[in-house]
Amino acid sequence: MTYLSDDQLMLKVVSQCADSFTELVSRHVDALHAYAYRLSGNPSTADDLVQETWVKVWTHAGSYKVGRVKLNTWLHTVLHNKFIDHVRKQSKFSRSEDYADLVLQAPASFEPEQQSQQQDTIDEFAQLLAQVPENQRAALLLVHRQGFSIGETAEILNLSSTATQSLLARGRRAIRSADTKMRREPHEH
Amino acid sequence: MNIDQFLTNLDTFGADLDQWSDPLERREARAFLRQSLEARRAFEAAQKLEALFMSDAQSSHKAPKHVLDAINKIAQAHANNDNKPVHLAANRTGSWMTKEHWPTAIAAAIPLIVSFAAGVGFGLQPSNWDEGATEYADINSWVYADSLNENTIEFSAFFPAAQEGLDNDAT
Repeated sequence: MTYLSDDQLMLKVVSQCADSFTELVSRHVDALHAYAYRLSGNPSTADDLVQETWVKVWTHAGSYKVGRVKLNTWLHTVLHNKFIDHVRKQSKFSRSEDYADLVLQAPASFEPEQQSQQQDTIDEFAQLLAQVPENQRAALLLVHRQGFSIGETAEILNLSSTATQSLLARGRRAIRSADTKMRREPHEH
Repeated sequence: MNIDQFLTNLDTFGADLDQWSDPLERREARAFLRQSLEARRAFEAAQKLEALFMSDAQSSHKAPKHVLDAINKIAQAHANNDNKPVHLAANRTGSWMTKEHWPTAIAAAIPLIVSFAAGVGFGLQPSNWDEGATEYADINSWVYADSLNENTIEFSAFFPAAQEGLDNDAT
């Protein structure tokens, strides 16, 4: 079977090709779900965000302009916008303590034999992310976890590159401060 | 370079000194790290945090199966509909053309047909009409004409009394 690029598959999805859609899902769903999970801190919310994103991919495939941005960037943009809608509907997610409570358990997608080994790391990472506002958290995750450039991150967040760099700087400062605080007061976390 | 400048650059560009934009600042940062304990602690903390992100990215995260199943149902549901486009406009057009709507459409059209026929009938000239029929037809055209002045002259040609009125007005 000839390998088709993401853009070639998307052109087929515009024509309602289910096989092409399934192939795109298989390529990108895991990375999208990981981002959604770290961004929202809630497995159920991550599931909803990812499903809503792919519904939009199927129903609005024509809105993806080949050559303007990479498909991966566009997918994260759609998901991020869904997350913003979700945050606006549920204001409680803006409180960091709720985020921390939701991610103390290992994600269900981790292999069971790995949970005990990674539990401490997951808890520390999740607790650090919980101390950071959603927009800074998004910038940090997009750059340091998802591997996007500043320009791509700016596209996803609908910000200028300067604003994105500023957001990233504030996020790094916030997470560094949270890390210092956690090390000084380990029993409180 | 002082600690504030170092921390500002550390937050702006991250823990990879090669990503710092200014080559001079990169050299100064490396020198400052050798002499400042606070700078080294902050730098190591930033490196550790970035490593946490990368480690999480390299973990074998898989989307849950129920999520994949739900997503794949999106396209499969469409495929089961024989690739018919799921557009509201198409559905609306299709329902308009179904048999149960034809009686309603015909009932709505009957008054239109009748009134059209009546209008045509009034305009028709009976077969036994004498030579005045032409005048009658012209009067009809006068009634529906746009220019009143122009057709007043024509009107007066049929009705001499009207022409007298015009002459009186002229005086």
